[in-house]
Amino acid sequence: MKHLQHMSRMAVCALVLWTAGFVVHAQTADLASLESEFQTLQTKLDSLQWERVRLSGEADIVARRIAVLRDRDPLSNSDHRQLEKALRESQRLTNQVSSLDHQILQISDERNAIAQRLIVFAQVEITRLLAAADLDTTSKRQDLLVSVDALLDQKQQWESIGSDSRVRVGNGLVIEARQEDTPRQLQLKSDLLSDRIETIRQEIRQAAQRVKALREEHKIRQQMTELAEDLDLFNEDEEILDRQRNTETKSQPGGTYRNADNRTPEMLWLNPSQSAWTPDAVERSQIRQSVLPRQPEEAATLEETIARWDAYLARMQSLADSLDVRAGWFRSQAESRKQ
Amino acid sequence: MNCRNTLILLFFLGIVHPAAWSQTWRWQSRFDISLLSDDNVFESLTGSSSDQAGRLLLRLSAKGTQLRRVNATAQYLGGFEGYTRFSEENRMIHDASAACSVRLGGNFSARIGLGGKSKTFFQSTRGYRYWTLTPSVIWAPVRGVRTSLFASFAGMDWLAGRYFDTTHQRIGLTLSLEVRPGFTVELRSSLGEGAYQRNAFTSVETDSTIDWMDLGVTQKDNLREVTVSMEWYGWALVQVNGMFQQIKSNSYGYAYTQPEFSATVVKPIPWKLSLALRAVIRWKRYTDSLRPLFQIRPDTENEESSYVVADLSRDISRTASCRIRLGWYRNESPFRNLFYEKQVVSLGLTQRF
Repeated sequence: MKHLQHMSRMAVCALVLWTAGFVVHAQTADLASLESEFQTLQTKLDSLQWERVRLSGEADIVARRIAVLRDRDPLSNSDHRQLEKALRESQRLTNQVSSLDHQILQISDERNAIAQRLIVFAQVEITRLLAAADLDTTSKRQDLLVSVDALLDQKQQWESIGSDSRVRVGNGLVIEARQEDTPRQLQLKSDLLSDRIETIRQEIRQAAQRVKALREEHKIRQQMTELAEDLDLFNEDEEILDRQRNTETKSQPGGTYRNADNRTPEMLWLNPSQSAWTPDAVERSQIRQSVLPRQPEEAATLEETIARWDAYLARMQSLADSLDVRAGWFRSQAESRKQ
Repeated sequence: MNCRNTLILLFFLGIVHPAAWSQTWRWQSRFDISLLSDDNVFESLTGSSSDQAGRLLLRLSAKGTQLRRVNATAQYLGGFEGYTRFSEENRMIHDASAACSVRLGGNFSARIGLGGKSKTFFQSTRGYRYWTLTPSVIWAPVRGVRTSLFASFAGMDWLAGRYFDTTHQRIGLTLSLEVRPGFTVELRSSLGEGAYQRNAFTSVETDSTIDWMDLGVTQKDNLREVTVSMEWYGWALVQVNGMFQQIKSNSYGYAYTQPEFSATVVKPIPWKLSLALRAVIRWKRYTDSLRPLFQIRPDTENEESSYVVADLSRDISRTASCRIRLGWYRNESPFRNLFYEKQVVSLGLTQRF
């Protein structure tokens, strides 16, 4: 009978493990297929864009030919025929470019949708890897953190692909005014910057909410610590063998208080439901270092965590303000060139 | 200054000295001033003497890290309490502690802590000095699980004499489990032994008298303790602790069992207010049938049994707050199984920097 019970427990365990393995495998498989699909679409998009560049080049040549013919005065019959032919050619090329633009837009949308799904997958995987790295052995932990860094980079690429405005600004492309920029181009550059500013401001709002929650928790824990300290110092509890204080939580009456300023690493990690956003790679790396220490003794204090978030918020605010000024300048330039 | 105090001082200087650490220390300090009304200043069983008092508290603490493997903390708490009418109760308290932990391989880390506390009365020889040394090894095999094997060595030195002086050792195991984010359960069990300076004795009853007989060996108490703790953080921060303690002694009248329940709740409420409640209830049962007027401690304040404290505080600024605190105590007196009661009301101001 005992043997049967043992066997049934083993079977249940095996089933659970198999199911867990299947889920992980399915997730990995989904990720791989999505990446493959993403690559296929990206390749197709690249070829269409190259084709568009080629057609645009041809259209430019035809446009120059048309301009030369129009400048002739008077036009001969041959010039008329050439001009009509060039105009038809230009019309054909314009239609082809327009058709290509439509296809590019369609495929871009598909690719961006896949990029969004990949971002979600990456976030889940990053969270899982960080959790695994938290308490793993030293060598393996390093490998896991390397994987996390690689995923963060990959995710950032997908994020930047997901939004054209962020691609250009987020990847460090300098948006600068050129002499030949038309008012429309200047306006587009301004819009590009505005989109980026809006994204940053959204991140700032979410980060501010998180900081507020952390400050609240810090305040509560501080009050508990101070109450414990006061009672401990003046009421002199737990001095003797039969009431000795906890050896690991000094200055806590009853020996039951945790160090109120040193939460466990898990408590400090961002709640996934509250952290749909992620800071940029450098800050993210710093924050990760502070909130996911490798041993409880290294647990970052709440104050340290809040200080890092504050620094990050200040940096993002400064960036948003700076971009705001630049966007305003582009708008004013566009207006002045229109006039 | 004797050898032990010199070692303690060197330890503190070594651990706090900035040159010993490549990275900067983080300092946190607090200064607290409060006025209180105590309705039983002398912890009297029969009559009570009320008085007003002022309290000062200074807290300095620092944390430092070196090479990402070694962490250190140091803390000092100093307190002064002065009464308006009963100056013999005026006292000064110093409490200093330091700890150092080293991360070893394989999710292991080692930690050693050292602490000392002294209480001195300005106009009497009451008071004590207390020291403790606590090495431990911590193992965190997987996320959310943490085990710790700890030992502690401590000594109590009463200024009034050596009769109640003790040294004690303890060894124990702690298992901490994070059941889910924000909810942690901790189990702790330990064994210990305490040795008094004085000899153990027993009571010998005859028909009409009770005699005390010296056993010719020093008193030794054995301790067993099991504790279950829980912490939950959600709409409030809640810590609950249940403990069972058993003391066996070779001296008459010192053996007892004691279940204990304690809980602390801190909850922020509107208008920048926070409410904190702490309650401790102990049920102490002596194993021997007790004789009256049998002193167990020289200090009335050293045997707290049960109390409830409510603390309402309000932020004045980002670094300052004021509070009102109400406390009700039912403590065992220096004479076993006799309890006194007292109520303390205090108004305080805290500045953090």
